[in-house]
Amino acid sequence: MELRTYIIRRLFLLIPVLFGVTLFIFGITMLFSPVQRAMLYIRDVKQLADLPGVIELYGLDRPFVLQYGTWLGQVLTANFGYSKIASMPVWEAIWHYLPATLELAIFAAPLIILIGIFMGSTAAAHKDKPLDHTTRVVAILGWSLPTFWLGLLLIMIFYGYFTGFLPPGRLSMQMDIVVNSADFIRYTRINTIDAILNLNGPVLLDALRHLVLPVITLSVVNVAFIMRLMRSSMLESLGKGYILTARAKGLAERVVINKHARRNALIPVITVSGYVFAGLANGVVITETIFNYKGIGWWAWQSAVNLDISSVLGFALFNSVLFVLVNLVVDILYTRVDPRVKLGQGVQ
Amino acid sequence: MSKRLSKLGWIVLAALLCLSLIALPACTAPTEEEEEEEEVSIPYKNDGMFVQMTIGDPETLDPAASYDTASGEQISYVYETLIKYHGTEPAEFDPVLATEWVWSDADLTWSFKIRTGVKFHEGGDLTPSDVEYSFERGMIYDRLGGPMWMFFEPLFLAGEYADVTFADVDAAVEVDGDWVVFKLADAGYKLIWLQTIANGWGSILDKEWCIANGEWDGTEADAPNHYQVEDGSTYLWTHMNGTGPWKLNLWDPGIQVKLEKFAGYWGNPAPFDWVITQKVDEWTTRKEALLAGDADLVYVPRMYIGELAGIADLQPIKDLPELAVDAFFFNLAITPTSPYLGSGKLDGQGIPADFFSDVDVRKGFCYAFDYQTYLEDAMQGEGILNGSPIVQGLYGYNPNAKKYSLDLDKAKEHFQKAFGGDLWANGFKFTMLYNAGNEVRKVACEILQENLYKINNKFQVSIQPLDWRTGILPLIRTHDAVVWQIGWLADYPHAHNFVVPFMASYGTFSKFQSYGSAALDAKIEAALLDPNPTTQVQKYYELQDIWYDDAPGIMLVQPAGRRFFTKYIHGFYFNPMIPGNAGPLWDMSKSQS
Repeated sequence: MELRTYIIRRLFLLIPVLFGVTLFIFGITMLFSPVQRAMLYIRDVKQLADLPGVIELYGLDRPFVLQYGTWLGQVLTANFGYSKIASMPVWEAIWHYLPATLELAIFAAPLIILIGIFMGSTAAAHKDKPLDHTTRVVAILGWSLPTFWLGLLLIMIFYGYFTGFLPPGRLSMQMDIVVNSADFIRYTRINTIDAILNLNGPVLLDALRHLVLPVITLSVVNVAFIMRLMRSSMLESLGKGYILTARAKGLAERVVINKHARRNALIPVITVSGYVFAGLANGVVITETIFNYKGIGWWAWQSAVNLDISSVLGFALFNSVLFVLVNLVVDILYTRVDPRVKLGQGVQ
Repeated sequence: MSKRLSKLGWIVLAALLCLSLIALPACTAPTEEEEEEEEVSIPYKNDGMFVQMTIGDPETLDPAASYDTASGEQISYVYETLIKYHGTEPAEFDPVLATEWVWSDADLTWSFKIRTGVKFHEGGDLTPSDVEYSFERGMIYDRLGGPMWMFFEPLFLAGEYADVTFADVDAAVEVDGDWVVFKLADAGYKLIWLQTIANGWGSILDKEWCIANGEWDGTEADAPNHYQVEDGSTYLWTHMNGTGPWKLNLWDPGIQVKLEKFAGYWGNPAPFDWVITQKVDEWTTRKEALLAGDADLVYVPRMYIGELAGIADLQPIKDLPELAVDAFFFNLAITPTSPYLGSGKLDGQGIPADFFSDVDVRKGFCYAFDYQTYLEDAMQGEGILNGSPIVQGLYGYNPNAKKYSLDLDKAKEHFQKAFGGDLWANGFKFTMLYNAGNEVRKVACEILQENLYKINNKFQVSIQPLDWRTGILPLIRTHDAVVWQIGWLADYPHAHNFVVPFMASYGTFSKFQSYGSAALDAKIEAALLDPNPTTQVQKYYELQDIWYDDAPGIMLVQPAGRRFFTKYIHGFYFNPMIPGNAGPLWDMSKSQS
């Protein structure tokens, strides 16, 4: 199948996916009573007397079909509703909070994937040797560490103990003022990229300094997943006939591992790597909260606990699109890594 | 298979061990001795900036809609009111946008002379018609759940815009040359009106700028288009244009509010070039920022106060008497289908819906609570035990008012009398609610639970945490909650603002308790409208006695506040009516000395 046709076909599949996801989420939120949902607009007991007015104003007591229909109608006119948590339209809120999360993902995902692949293949190449055991123990330890614990620990050491060395947040106060000034153009709202585009070294360094701890936290916690997958996939590859042939041909072990075994072992890792990136890009709540690196995960979490239905639905739509696109990219990558794979037809 | 670790393995293990050794002391709570000896040096940073890290995020920047502390705080720095509280005083005022003000007994009017030469941040000039517009716009908008009831009551003896007409609103606020005149409905509101308009909802807007940006155009015809519109739909929800010492630079919802010095300010120049309020949810992150000098003030939950004890570079500001109080409330007419009633009968497996309608039950509960333990353990000794809704610091507060104390014998006496002795014989079971995550309220529930069980082991109360907004508040609203805890924070510093929510039949709490009566409402009104200060105080004393005799709840503690500023911040003073923790920033400063 032609690449373009394949992409168009996959994008069309988005429509039923989005419909199903939003219907499901809307259905779940409707399990809460109108009074509970109206609480989004109530901050204090002093406002309780106005609750019936709130329910009426926002139509929270109308039948499910009407409420969902109204929302769907708005979406078709590109109006995704108003995010009470973000105090802006939902669509704007997504673009507002996404850059911070993307920045984390851009730095953390390659690190996670590369370290995971390196550790996994090294462990497999030294199967049952001390290096294999050590690598696995280290990876599992990292995976077992609760994110909040590791994050707080790193803050206490690298921000508290070494006063102010690696601070939380996205930028220091001074750099934040620079970034929000008229002289600095925010092309992407991703600070590191914007700093490069504005040729602003101090902002770039400051942004990188603030990225170190959250990226380390995410990497330590997630690397084990890739590492274990890579290891088992690599072991499978190393047992294959073509590896035996390569070795019989007298190829150096490094060439056997890097050129023959690792390339074939990468296929399942590519799939998972796509999900790792998507997982990071749709928000890492705990890391964002602890390091005060507020992104889309933090916003989605706040919206969910406050029953901000428009925001939750908007996030669900975004998430669905992201995962479908990531799947698509992964499928296309398959064909590059393994020429036997044909789009829409599987392995030939 | 090798049983020995490689060199790399040993290095990794050693690194992990080192990490743990560094981390262990950081994770362990310091002893009291260590706290006293702790020498933490906080560096001086961010010159010219005031940086606050807190947990609140403004809901709105619209003064007419704002009814939460986080919003009110930002509004107080950007907008200005006609008058403001004088220092720490709750009933004395300083001029701001009004240079003088005059009361007329004959007309029941307050007249304010408007300051000249004042510029708005966007360049407009302040005029008396801006003042008229600001008040009228607020009342016409009358946001659902907003603060405008505080205007309607003194001006019209009404609760909302729906109770009056456009003509009423128009006539209540009039321009007279350089003056703006407010006509009150009753002389009893003379002081309350000043206290009300000295707060953020009395902020003055630029009429022309508002109209140019799609706000109400000042006519009757346009008023319905702006009445109780959806949250977020007003321009002022996210934009600010005041006359204050700082102007809005950036509101990044959920992240930060950044204010910058307004060069054209009419008064003394702002003491900080920037005022930055960041929302930092995690306590450890806030704490480390304070100790690293990146924050000048952080919000400290009461349970973590000990972590900052003994740090010399922090200012020990404490025992600030907040105009607030926490209480348990009994529901006198519970919805019979409430899931928290157990069997719904007095058979030892539940309670009837009218369980708390028996005054002996209520008094039994009041005597069963250990107030001192609560104050010391849950509140860490930081507060005042109050016997009635009127708190210390308010006119009408009776320091000698009768109050309950722990007395299990008296509690037993009352329980034995309740329901003709059936309650004592059969016992009861029900569920008490508190908002999940609030450890102070949890402790209060546990104290009550334990003491009730001590009195009679058939008195069994279970405790259930629920989410505050989606759990407890709706249950209060539907009268399903049996007993709950809530605090009240003053809207204006007057006893009336406390007796109404606690005791009036239409009060915020009492309404949902089914407590209060027409007779009690009359007493509340009589106290408010009494022009004689001596007899007025007596009337408020009487209301406090009624609360004690009726015992519709367990009055807990008036909290004492703390502030954790670094030593570089100077000039803080406490007025409970200034919203937020930072206080009067316009009178404060930051320097290394």
